[in-house]
This record gives sequence, structure tokens and C-alpha cells, in this order.
Amino acid sequence: MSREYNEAMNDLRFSPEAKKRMTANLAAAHEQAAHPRPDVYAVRGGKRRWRYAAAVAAAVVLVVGVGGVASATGNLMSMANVFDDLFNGPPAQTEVVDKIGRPIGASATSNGVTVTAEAIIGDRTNYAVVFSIAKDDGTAFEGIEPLESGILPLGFESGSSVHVDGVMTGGGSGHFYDADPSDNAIQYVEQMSVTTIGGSIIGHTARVSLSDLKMYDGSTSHVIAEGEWNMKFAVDYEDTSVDLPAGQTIKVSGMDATLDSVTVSPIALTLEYTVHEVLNWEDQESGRMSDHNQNETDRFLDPSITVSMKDGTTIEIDALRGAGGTREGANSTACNKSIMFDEFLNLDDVASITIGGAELPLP
Amino acid sequence: MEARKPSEAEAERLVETYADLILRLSYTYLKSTHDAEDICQTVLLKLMNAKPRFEGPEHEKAWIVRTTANACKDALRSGFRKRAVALDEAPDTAAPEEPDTGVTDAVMALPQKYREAIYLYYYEGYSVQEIADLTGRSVSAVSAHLSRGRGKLRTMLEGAYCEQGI
Repeated sequence: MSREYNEAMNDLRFSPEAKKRMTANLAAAHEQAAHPRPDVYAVRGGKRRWRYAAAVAAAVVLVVGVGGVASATGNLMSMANVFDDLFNGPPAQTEVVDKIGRPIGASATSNGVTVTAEAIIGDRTNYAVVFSIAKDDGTAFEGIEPLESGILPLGFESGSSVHVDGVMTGGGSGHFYDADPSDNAIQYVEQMSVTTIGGSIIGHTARVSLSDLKMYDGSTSHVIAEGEWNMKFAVDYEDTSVDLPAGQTIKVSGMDATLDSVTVSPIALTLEYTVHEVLNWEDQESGRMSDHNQNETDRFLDPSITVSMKDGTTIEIDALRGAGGTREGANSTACNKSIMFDEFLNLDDVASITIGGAELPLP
Repeated sequence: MEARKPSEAEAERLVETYADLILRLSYTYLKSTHDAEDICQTVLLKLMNAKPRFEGPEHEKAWIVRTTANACKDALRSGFRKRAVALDEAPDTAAPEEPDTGVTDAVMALPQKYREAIYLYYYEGYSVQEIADLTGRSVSAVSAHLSRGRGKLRTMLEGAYCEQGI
């Protein structure tokens, strides 16, 4: 039996292509960690790409809105206004998009289909990037019926990824939609919250490796565009994150905790805190979270969060919908949370953020 | 021809030497190969950036095994995994083909600590003492995990392989 086990494990190995990709990513990530200066790549501008920057934001709302309960106020920038601002004038709030968004313009063509990384918005540890996918002959992809949510039932082949150098862990989502039914392009949006070496992805290189666009029909799928699209671009938007003073005692699901760090940007709130109790983690037999461990993790990753605007209105943030992680110590549990907002938050309009009962005024 | 940077040569050495070990060990912990590339990148980048001093190849390998085990445990515990939105149309992550044999299925059905002991003992060839050192467990605990793991495998495989060593 040990021979059969050893033979089976011996056959478990990365492909030469995967090793080549990993070697390149590893070397690049090491270079950037050693010389943390932003890479410089050609960036093409233009209004169309800014339009996509706004589209990324709209798409983020589409995704995070599924589980979100945040209520909008007049001080928040609605997505409709983002579009209006981009095309009809430069109101002050457009400056927010100018800072957190960047057009990209990197593209790759395979078998008559071009995939273009159009734009990215983000902060130090959260980002959303939008790609357009179009046939070079100008015809549209046929027979794709959107779901009720507007999402197109599409996906890239297993192994496709957007990897930002230096990222250690991450969680997020990806989906397809049609930003403009009058043209032949469809859009793919990927949004991620990550932990990263050095604490920021800004200045790092994003490496895109996509293959075979597939359409899903129930549990089956078929390829509608065969090919491989590889590209890279610099994550080079402005760092609009604001670090708030930490160290306060807070309550998380009734437990005592200490805020270790709080960072807010126009698109996300990122927290680190230590709960002074140990998460009761039970061994589980796979990567799928057991009910017990999920309930226990939720208990530690659900601080109450309220954003208070200067006009007196408030926004309740559902912390559970964000990404997060825990690490148990001997007597405490270190937690991190990243929550992307439903809408852009102009920090000039924010008076304070209250986390687990502790009010943190913005500078 | 452009000269290779030292980091490229070192990255290639590490990937060629350890990527498959990290893949197998992460599969042993996670029962999936989907996160193996990320685990591999995390572990090897940590080694390249931290530049720990090693007494020799076995010392370096032991560091890789320990760090991979910790990375896998972090991944299992990370809320990131469950918060990833399970959209049908979201693309899958990279995933080398997983073993599909009766024995590997049986091993993967064992509790994590038994799988860990069996992989390190039978595939990597570590002694019980070495596994205890690597995993931070006691020698008696590792022995018990091996013994109980073998017992469960015998039951699951109905004695078909008992004579062959496990």
C-alpha cells in the first residue's frame, strides 16, 4: 500500500508551464520586495478607459450589494453620479475617482479575441479591475443570456488568475456583464481584498493569465472563445488610505477586544484587532468551513461598524460580508477584516467611524 | 542576450526543488490542490525575502515543510476562503490534477494529523522523531497518529494492503 501511495503522490506535481510561471512570479515578487519602487509601464489614457473605471465601481456595487445592508446617504456618490461626473463635468467628488482609479490599456489577443485590462480602482489592500473581451471581427458573442441580476453566465478556464505580486492571501469575486449592449464587447470584473507583503499592493505588478472563455448552462459549460490571454500591468493608483489612531478597547460580539489598526479609503475599511478570547476551532476534514467553525469565525469577525457623516447621517456597515481571517494565540485571537463599501466614500464628508463602540474621528 | 538576475536563478532553484513537495504537502492538509500555487508562492517568497541561514539541504527542506504546514493551517483557518463569493461564473483557481486511487482516497479520508504523519513518514521518509521536531508534536503523539492512521487504513481497505507495510 505504501508503494501505491508513494506512486500516487509522486505523480502529483506542477506542470512545467506552472513551474515556469511560478518562477517568474517569485523572482519578480522578490525583486519588488527588495526594491519597492513602482514598476513603470506604458499607460494609455482616454475617456473610454475612465468610463471603465466608473464601470468597475458600478460592478463592485453589483457584487458586494448582494449581501450588503449599508444604506446610502446624500453625501455618498451614487454610481449614476459617477457616470455623470465623468462625462458631464468635473465636480469635486470626481477627484475621488481620479485618485483611486487608473486606466490600464494592457491587452492580449488570441484566436481573434482580444482581452483588454481597461481600468483598476483600489487602495492598499483592496482592488477591482475590469477587462473587456471582444471579437476582433466586430461581431458579438452570440447566445449569452444574462441572469436576472444582469450577470452573464460566463467564466474562464480553471487556472485563470489575476495575481498581484506580493499578495499572500486574498478573497473576492469575479463576474461578467455587458456594460454597453450596443457594442460587441463584454466585461469581466474581478475584485479582491488581500493581505500582502509590505502592507500595500500599490506599485506592485499584476499578472493576468486567462484561458478559454466558457459559458455555463446549469451544471454544464462549453467554450465560446478558445485561447490564452496573458498580460501584466502596474497597480499604480494613488494611495488615498487614511490610517486612524488605534489602540482602543472595543466589543466584538460581546467579547473584549483591542483595535490594532484601522485604515479607511474611499472604497474600503480595513481593520486589525485582537479579541481577548481564543477562537474555538475544531479540526475539519477539508478546506470547506464546517458549520461550527463558520459560526465561530463569524463571532470573531463581526464587529459593529457605523460611519457617521458630517451632515449627521449614518451608515451601518455589515462587517460579515467582507473578507477576513483569524489567527489564534495562547489567550487571544488576532483578526483582520476588509470591507469594500457599496459606494464611493468621500472621506472629506466623513466625521467619524465607530467600531465596536469606539468612535474614531477622521483627521 | 540579457543576463539572468540572481533572484531568477534562486527562484528557479527553489521552484524546481520544492514546488512539488509543497504541492503534495498542501494537498495533504487542504485535501485540494486549488490553493497549492498560492501556498507555494507564499512559502518560497518568505524564504527568499527572509534569507534564513541553513546548515544544509535537509535543514532548508525542514524549514520548507514547517512553513508550508503553517501556511496550510492559516489557509484552513482564514475567513478569506469562506468569504470568496461562490458565483458559478467566477473562474476557478489553478489546480494540478489530484490523485485518484483507492489508497490516496483512504488516506485523505483520515483526520488531518494522521494524514500529516503518514505523508511525512511514508513519502518524505522522515523518522518519528524528525516528524515530532517538524510538527511540534511529541514523539508519542506522532507514533499514535501513525499507528491509528494505519489501523483506520486497514479497516477502510479491508486488510488488502496490510502485508505491504502500512
